[in-house]
Amino acid sequence: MASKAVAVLKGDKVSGTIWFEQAAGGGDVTVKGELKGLAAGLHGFHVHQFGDTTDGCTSAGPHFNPKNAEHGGPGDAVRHAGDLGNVTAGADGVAKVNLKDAQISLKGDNSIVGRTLVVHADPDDLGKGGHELSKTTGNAGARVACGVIGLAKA
Amino acid sequence: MGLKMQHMALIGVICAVLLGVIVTVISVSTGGSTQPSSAGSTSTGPFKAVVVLNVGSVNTTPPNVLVLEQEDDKAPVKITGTLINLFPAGNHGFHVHESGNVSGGCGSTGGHYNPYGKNHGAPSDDERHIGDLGNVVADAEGKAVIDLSDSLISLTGEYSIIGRAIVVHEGSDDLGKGGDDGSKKTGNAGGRRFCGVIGTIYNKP
Repeated sequence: MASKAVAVLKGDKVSGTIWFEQAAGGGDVTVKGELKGLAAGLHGFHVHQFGDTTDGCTSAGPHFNPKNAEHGGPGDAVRHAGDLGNVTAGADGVAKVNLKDAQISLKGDNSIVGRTLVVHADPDDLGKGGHELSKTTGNAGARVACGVIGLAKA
Repeated sequence: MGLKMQHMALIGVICAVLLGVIVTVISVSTGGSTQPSSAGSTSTGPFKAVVVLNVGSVNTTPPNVLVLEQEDDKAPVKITGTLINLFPAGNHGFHVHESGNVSGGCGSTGGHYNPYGKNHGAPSDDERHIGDLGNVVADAEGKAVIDLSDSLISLTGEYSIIGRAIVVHEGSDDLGKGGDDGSKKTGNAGGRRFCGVIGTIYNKP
């Protein structure tokens, strides 16, 4: 049976729902949904390690990084599993998300179920910005909305 | 060697072969049960999770929080925390629901987590859903201090509750003893007062 999961993101101004799907045999995870209330432009979009929002999005911890790698872009070989790059909001503040990723999974050791999906205030420089935070966070700034990734019925 | 001795030797060989087959079958079946099958199952304890009950008809600010801890994959899960904004001196059904899908509020979390297709029951019953955690009981101020332990739920393995939801209901769970159809399904615990997705804090410093 295919696997499905969903995160309902909440922040002061930003909100949205993102769905994850993966075929029964594993493989790429499709990530689809919509976020609203964002400033126009790019926003870092990551799975963080802990499914903990007791202290807002901060308590979700760092990017989910089971291989202990440096931060990168979703297309890079060297990246955190949780590095999903950026989402792009239009002038209306809405970002439509529709991507596929090979490093996250809904099962096994790289499972993102029970972790937190976070959207950031600023663009993720994908590890290439030359900033001191590029190799850890992509210098994507504050966490403007987040939600714990829950299992959904397939 | 006489005929009798040859028969004895032959029987000995057959017994040895049969024993070998039995030993092989046993080792294959136990080997199979230790294969990792789900998130976290290759990890070692202690396992820890948290749920922020920030969804539902009645929200508290800050939201109610529960912590779940399990020493290893065979240990019971301990749930601790304080819930406020309950009905004074009220009983509230307290369950793990199958989905951590709160896209439609607590209503989209599905039924009680019940992978074995059992009837609803009390936490102490053999016949119960894995998610049946009974009732939380509020004091006169509508506050309940939760400190319970359950041996059926787990934070690891194939039947892990990570990524599922904890739901606190509006009404009392009759623990399957209400005498009607609903009692064997939901415990007639009524609406869903608050809920949240169970998130992992495994290895959190």
